[in-house]
Amino acid sequence: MENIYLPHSAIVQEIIPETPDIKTFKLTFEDEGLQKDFTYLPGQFVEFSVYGVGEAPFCLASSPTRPGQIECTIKKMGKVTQAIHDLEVEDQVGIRGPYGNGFPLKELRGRNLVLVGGGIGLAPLRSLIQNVLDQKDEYGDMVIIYGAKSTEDLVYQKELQEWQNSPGVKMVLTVDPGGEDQKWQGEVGLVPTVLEKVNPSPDNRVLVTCGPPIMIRYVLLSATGKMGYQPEQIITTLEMKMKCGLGKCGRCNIGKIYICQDGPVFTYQQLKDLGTEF
Amino acid sequence: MAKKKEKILVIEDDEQMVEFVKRVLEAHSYQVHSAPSAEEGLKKVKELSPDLIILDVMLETKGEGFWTAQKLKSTEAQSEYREYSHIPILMLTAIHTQTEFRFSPETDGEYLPVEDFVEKPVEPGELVQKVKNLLTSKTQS
Repeated sequence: MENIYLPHSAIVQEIIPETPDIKTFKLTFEDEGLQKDFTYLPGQFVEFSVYGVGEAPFCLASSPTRPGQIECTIKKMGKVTQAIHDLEVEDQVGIRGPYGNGFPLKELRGRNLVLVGGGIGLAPLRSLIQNVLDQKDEYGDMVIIYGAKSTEDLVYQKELQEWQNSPGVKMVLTVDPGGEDQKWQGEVGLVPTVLEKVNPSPDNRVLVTCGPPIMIRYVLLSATGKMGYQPEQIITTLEMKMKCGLGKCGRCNIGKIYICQDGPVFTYQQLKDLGTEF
Repeated sequence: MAKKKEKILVIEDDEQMVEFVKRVLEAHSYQVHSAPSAEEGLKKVKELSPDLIILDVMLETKGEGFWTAQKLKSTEAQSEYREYSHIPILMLTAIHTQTEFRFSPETDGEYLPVEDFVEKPVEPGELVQKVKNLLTSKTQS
């Protein structure tokens, strides 16, 4: 019988320091056939294990439209993430997945998008952004609003420039008050405030948001307030609480649903229907 | 010489709530002014420079009180409310009955920059005590 908890062996190909406590890991599977066949959706996640330490779920920050390797962006927060941060290029790790539902690309096609991210919450959105940029003709315009505590906490700094220069993309960067430096040319303010200021029209648009739960709450309030978005037009991810990725451990259930199996991507309407308090 | 009455501005769109707060606080010798919207409230902050602001959350939009508090507490050099950022804010809200969100200054940090946060309904004695506490700590700081 197949062991569903058994990870596939992968090799760390590159480590990119993003901020003082966030790194992006580029990985390839040792099994070339698996590497070739491995596909996923933006918004899905994998279980990343460091042998002898443990495993934890992380969203895929890369896009399936750019095959050859997978990428995870990881913030140092505890035992497993510390061990991941201690990894070096060519180290062997375990990966199982992909898990979860991912972003509903079929429903996003033909729509305008506004992607609202905070801190490391840009990681799952990056997967979606790369996907949309690689299939530009299938989507409308894209507004990206991204913020972090300070300029040094912004992830993917090189790519932010590339996205900014992409046709059909409007990019607005912000840092929290006090987080700006002398060179900063973006906005200064909390992400929901900047979102209201930019105020992308809800016409034929879907808002996708990912970031700290506090930010998400205030983004949902802004979007459904004076901005006029309906709860069905708003998508978010609930990655917290997930553990096994298989709906077995019961750590992430809300009523009858399991975030790791039925999510982590939900519309705000779905969350309201679940009676989730957050 | 009689002690100067402390000025309290109530930004609240529910007339009954305004009346309740006025009656309770005027009985304790506070001077109470009111504004029915965030926009009016911000104007009155500049006109009156109150000693305390009692702020509702659900005004023109569900979260308007939050954005108003953030504006009032902004210490940005270009903020037009910078000189009023020291005024304590007591937030009174029933948002927990209208949305699935729970808010608290302890967990929400800079998103909810108020000195005190009370879920409605509020008892007259509790209201007076909170107002007294905020005004006392303002005087001491």
